[in-house]
Amino acid sequence: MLRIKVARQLGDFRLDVRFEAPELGVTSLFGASGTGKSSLLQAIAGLLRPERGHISIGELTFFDSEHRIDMPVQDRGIGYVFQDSRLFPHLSVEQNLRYGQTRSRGRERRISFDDAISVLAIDQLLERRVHDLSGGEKQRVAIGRALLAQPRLLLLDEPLASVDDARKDEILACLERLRAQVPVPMLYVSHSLTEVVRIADHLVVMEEGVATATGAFREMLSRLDVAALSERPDAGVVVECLAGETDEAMHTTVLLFQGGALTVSGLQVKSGSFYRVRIAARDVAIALAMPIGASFQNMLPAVIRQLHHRQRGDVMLRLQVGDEFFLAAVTPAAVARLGLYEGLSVFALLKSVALAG
Amino acid sequence: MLTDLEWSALRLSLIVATCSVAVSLPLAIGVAWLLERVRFRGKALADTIVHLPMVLPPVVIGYLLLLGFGVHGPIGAFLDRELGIRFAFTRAGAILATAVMTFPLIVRAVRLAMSSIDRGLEDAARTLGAGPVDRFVSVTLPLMMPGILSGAIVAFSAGLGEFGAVVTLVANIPGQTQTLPLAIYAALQSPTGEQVAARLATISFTLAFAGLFLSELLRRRVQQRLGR
Repeated sequence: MLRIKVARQLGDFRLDVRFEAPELGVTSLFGASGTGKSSLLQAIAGLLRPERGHISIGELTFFDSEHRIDMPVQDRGIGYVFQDSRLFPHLSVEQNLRYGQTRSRGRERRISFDDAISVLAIDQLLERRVHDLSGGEKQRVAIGRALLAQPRLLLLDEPLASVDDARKDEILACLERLRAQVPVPMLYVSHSLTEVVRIADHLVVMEEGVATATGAFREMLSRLDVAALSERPDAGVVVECLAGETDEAMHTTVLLFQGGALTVSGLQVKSGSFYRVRIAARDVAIALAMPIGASFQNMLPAVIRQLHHRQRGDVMLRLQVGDEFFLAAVTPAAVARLGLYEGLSVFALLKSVALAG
Repeated sequence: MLTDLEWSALRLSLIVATCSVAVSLPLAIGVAWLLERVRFRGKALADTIVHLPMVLPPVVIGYLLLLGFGVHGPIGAFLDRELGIRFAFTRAGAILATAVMTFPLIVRAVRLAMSSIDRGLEDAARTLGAGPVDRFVSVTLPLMMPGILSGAIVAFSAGLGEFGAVVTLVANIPGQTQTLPLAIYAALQSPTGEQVAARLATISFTLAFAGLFLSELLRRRVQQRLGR
């Protein structure tokens, strides 16, 4: 278990965060800019000293104000990928990568040099000087450098912020491979839901210096009481699916989820693999009976579990479909016309289903 | 082309300048670190003392050194007794006087280099497991290299021409303590020395110019390598 309690005044801003997260997997700190996410990472790494708090992983305590524990940064073994990569300009790429590795003695080896450069696809860059790297390359090298220090915890502070869109995908793909192959707990700071959707297992929502909600990532997305998520125009859920058979003639594939199935077309999926599928609330319509002669590819029986009037004026429905929850955004007029209420059985009509990665 | 005495003046100047830089550089890096990175009381005073040689008349520096490091001075007497090192009228004295005079030049250059270092890189080194000394050697020092180099070269060039403090502490003994500028001065005192003075002045000018030029070239190259 990762236990974080950090209180610190920063000028007019008060950081007062507490949350717990499972050690395994990626925990995403999600929130708008200026909500204290980066300061929190600095405190965890030891670069910013909390006035009060407790920071520990499992049995290992890095900071505890009551017990006067404050482990020096260099002894914590907490990797840090900075927004601006911070590679050493006087060293080559390989020397940068080895910098932490040679100083990581005594810690469990989780990844080898060769594995790191192949996962991050930086094997061609080793001889290069940092100065000549593109933004995306720099960030991949920075991730490799932090990983090779064999960290007990890896902090990633908006690693895609200074990278152009085309390269973001590359880095996200690297991070996905890492999550699957290297058992390092990660704390990933982001203000972008599209990034979070791809790699998070656990979500901590931050607002104005406080962690306002925390929980398993997919469950959080379907909750209506987390305004930072449910009030977004692109609010929606992520469903974990197993790809089934592909119909070659129709170019459609069946994606199975707990208690149901989706049919998708035109997506590059491999049968037998797991995928995260993103279904936005605005792409889900509601019908009281199975429509006849409609073009929707997915029309699923659902039960309305919750109705919530959003600040933006529409109504958000939380639907149970099999064992999963979907969200649907409908107009108040539709709610009145169809007579929607909690517990009503309806059909969820999906206009679009997208792969999250 | 040069007489033996002129050669020895040139050689002595080079030795004095080199040794003075070698002595003051490590100390200057330490002092620059203190002034730039460490908070302590009386920092303004320390800063002032370090820079005094730049504004005090060199003769006064020489005189103060004579008081402290002369045969009867407290430090001079101690070093003479314990280690057999004498500063008055010796080459060691010339080195000491030159080192003191050029000290602020190096401190300034090193400090400037230190202040331009991205502290974020040192933080990155910390998260990668580097302790304070390790961090200084593996990150801070290499990044300061341009400043250290140009400071050292400027100090060397200035050291070649140090006059007032040197002549006061160690006098003007041909073959012993007579550096280039002292030889030029001595030549100008003699009615027939005009040509000698001109020759030595030309050498002096060339060395100083070459030093500054080299320092600039080096600085550019290192900065390019560091990608700035």
